[in-house]
Amino acid sequence: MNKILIVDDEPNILMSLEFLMRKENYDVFVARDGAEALDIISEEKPDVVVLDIMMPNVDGYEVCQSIKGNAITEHIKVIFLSARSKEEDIKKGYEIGADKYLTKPFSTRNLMKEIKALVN
Amino acid sequence: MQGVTVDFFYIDNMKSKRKMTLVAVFVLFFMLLNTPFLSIPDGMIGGLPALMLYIGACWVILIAVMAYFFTNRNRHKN
Amino acid sequence: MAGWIIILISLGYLGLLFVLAHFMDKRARVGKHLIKYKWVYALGIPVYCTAWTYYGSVGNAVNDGWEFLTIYIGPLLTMPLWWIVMRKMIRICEVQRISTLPDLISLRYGKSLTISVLSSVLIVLGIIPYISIQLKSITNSYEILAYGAYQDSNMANLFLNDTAFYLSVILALFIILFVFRSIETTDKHFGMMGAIAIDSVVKLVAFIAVGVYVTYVLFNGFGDIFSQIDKETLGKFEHLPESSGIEWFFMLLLSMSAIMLLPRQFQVTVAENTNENHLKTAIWVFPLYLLLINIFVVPIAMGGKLLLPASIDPDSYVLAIPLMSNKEGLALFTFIGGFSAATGMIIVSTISLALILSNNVIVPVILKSLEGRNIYSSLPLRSRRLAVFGILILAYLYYKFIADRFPLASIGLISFAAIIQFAPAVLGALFWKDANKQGAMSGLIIGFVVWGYTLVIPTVIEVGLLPESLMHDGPFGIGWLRPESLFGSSLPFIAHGTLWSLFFNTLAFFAASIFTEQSGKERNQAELYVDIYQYSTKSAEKLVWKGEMVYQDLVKLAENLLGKDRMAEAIDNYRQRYGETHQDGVVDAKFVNYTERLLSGAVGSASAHLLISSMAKEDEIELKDVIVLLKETSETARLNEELQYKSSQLRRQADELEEANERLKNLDKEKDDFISTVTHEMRTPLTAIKAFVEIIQDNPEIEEQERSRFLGTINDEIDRMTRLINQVLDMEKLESGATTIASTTISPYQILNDSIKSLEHLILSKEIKLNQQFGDDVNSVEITGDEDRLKQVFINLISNAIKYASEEQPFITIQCETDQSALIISITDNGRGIKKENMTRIFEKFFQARDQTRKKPKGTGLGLSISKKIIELHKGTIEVTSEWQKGSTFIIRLPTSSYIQAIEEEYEQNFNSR
Repeated sequence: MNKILIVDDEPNILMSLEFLMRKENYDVFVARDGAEALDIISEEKPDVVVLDIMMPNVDGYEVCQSIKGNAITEHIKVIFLSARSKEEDIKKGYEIGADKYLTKPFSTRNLMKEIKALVN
Repeated sequence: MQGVTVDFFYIDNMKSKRKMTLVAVFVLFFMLLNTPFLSIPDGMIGGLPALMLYIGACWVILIAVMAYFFTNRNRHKN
Repeated sequence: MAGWIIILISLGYLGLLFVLAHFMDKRARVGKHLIKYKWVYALGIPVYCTAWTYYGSVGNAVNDGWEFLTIYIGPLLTMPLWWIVMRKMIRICEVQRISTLPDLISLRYGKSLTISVLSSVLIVLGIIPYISIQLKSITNSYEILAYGAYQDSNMANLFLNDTAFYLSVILALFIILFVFRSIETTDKHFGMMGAIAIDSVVKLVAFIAVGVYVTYVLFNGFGDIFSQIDKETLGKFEHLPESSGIEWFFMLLLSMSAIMLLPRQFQVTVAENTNENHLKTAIWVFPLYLLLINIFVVPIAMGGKLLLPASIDPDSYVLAIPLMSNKEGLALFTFIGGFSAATGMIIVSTISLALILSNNVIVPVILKSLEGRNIYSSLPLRSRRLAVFGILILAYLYYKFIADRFPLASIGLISFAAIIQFAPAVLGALFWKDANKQGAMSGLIIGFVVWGYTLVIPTVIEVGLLPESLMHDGPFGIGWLRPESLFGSSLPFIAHGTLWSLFFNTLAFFAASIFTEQSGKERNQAELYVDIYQYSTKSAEKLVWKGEMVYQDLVKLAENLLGKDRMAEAIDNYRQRYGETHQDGVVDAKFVNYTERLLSGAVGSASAHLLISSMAKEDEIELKDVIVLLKETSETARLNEELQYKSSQLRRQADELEEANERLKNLDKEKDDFISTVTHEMRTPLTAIKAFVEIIQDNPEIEEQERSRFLGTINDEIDRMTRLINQVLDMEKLESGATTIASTTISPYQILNDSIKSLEHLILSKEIKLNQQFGDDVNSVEITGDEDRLKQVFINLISNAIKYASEEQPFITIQCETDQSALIISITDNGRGIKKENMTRIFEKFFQARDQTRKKPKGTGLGLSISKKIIELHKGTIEVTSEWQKGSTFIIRLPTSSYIQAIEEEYEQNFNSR
């Protein structure tokens, strides 16, 4: 069973994604901010991290950089989910190693498809 | 030989209008406190010599004008 | 009364005066005046009122009616001119370090030693009799007090048995100990000013005391006295016949010039001035003083005439009345008043005459004879002290041998007539550039010759020292040369002398000035005097000086007179202000002038000039040098001014443009930021909505309960979006000014209460402890504003407090109180608080959205910005104080309507009175 970590500070978004992932039988972990996310990543080594960017304490970019900068975790796939839709934000996301960058609001169907593609 | 110019109203940092006012006050009171003005008051008013009241009034008014001129107005003008 | 009591009390008074003066001097030297110096200055000027005023006015009133007033009306009339004439004199004397009238004249007229010595001698001749009559008045009043009448002056009493002699010695010692203690580069004598200011108060209070006693104790007020006096005396006061107009006019003229030019007046008004603005006080205090000291002259005169036997001299009424009614205390106080009037006059006159004699006669004459060799620094001090003794002894001898033969008043007036001879030269110096040395000299000489002929000789004849035939037939029998009716004119004695001396003086002054040439050196000074306000800040630079002088010579000379330390200090000052001093070589004109002015402070300007020119090979300055320089400076000054104005205008415009640009840029950036933040904030609820909608669409099988939970969430998020949109629009409206707030009279306290009520259920449900502290009078406070908007603010702030209050023991405090001007509402929570660095930014739009340090609350990030805007529209303020981890307090100040109205009225008044 693939492990998926969802990181967002909006409880309603977390709730909806958690519901969808469980339905697809992933092992789902949730985090409300970047610091919490880093703890779970080092403990659980999820296969995919769905990551918001603007979060308190440690933001999404930093979480991604820490994943991709560490040999133990660099295999973990990262999908950015962000309200930041500007060209330079997206470019920056890919530059630091994201596997996918989706802008909010996104289609959940599309998201699930991307995750499926990444875990296989 | 240069011409004779008596530069009484030279312009300095003080407004010349103000200076003219001062000179005018001087001329006015100089006339008021000389004859023939001074010969006009005559007899007694309310038991006191009219001349005394006249001189006293001029005196008080001049003090008031000076006090007004040099204490009050400066705050706005300078 | 026993003589020794009077003497003891007088000495006690003098001693007290000296101690006070010494104390004031000490304080003033360190800049800590006991009283504001402007009052001391204003009260120093009444040194004008001497014993002659004190005793003589009454006598004069008895004999001649109102005529005595001319002595005071003249000075009164000059008051409007003081700001023009006296201020200019003060400025010139300050810039050129002048401390005597002969300095002022001689420096202007070609730095002429002849004029300096001439005018000094004339002044001293004119004033010594005046000092002697003060001695006479003290002795007279002492005798009246001690023996009830004058004693015949007894030659056997000369010197050792004579009070007047001891008095002269004591005063001389005072001056030497307190005033001429050391040579200073400053010429201010604070101790002397303090002493005469005290004298002024004492003599005024004493005279008024007698006046009140006579008018209100012995009689029932002014009306009572006037109703009792005999017809003949009353007639003198009822009316001023036009025939006395001429005498009146000349008396005014004399006293007008006296108040400005008498040596003692010049000393206190010009030389002792430390700030031109002190004139503004003196200009109304001095005439007020004159009015007060004259109010009771006529009542005392009439009271004396009614109560005292005809044999008593009216000059002594002031003392005789209290003595007659056995009021010894009052009599003694009156005596002290007269004593202070006399000593004040003697002290200041002697000081000013000693300065004149020393600076303008003794030192320059000695220097001239030394030809620059062996100048020693104690010379000026010694000559001043010598002059003090010389003057007082002369005054004493004059009193002893001559003064007794003349009436008090006539000596004073003849002195005045001597002083008015300086008026043309002084006014010319101040206002007429073409006036010259020859003019001043011929005016003074002719003026004094006529003065002596018409005023002094008749008195000498009266005393019997010259044959009376001179008076009746004229010299050598020439009728039209009779001293009392020159050219057959028939005028009152003083008016006659004044008219002719002043006429010939002025005529000679103008004629000689017009028909002779001015030297370049003199032109230099003429420009500097007349246009002093233009040059006063940098006079040292504006002078032409051609010559050669070695730095070392000049400095050595100055060190001899001033001392090494003072000279070193002065050179430091110079370097700071003007730069180099050319230490090894030849100095420039600037430095020469600077040193000359320094020396002037110590030895007077005439001597200073002599010293300088004895050292240098000074070339004659030609008129054209001065004119070229002045043309240059005035032309450059004008051009400079124009340029400065233009460039400042340009700079201002550029600044304005840049500012506008910056404003636009900021506005643009702000707008961009705002839009991107708003869209960002909208994406979040949209994302949640979209996600749940898709979930419901794609999963028809989910349970009913779950579906309705999802639908509820969708609803919440839609609400959130709606709120955001509404607040964005609200903000926009408030910012653009599209909405104006209502302006009705409302009670903020009431609105606060309503707001708390509407949130009560929320507070209860969260189990928050609410603490309300309301002041007593807050209910009555009314402001002009918008009820709904204020409610919006209060609800917003209280909701925030509820939201952020600590989770364990939530606690909110709401306070409301008022000071006179405003209602103050503060709302405190015990939550996490706000970090210091965010305190000022908390009211920014979407600040919390940008704040990466905290979990996102369910707010739009606009609430506080909108609240701030609304409070500002109510002319109020909102601010926050907070301690991290302890809680925050939001404080709102709403000014009351009455306060705002008061402020606006004040503003309007200020605006209108401009």
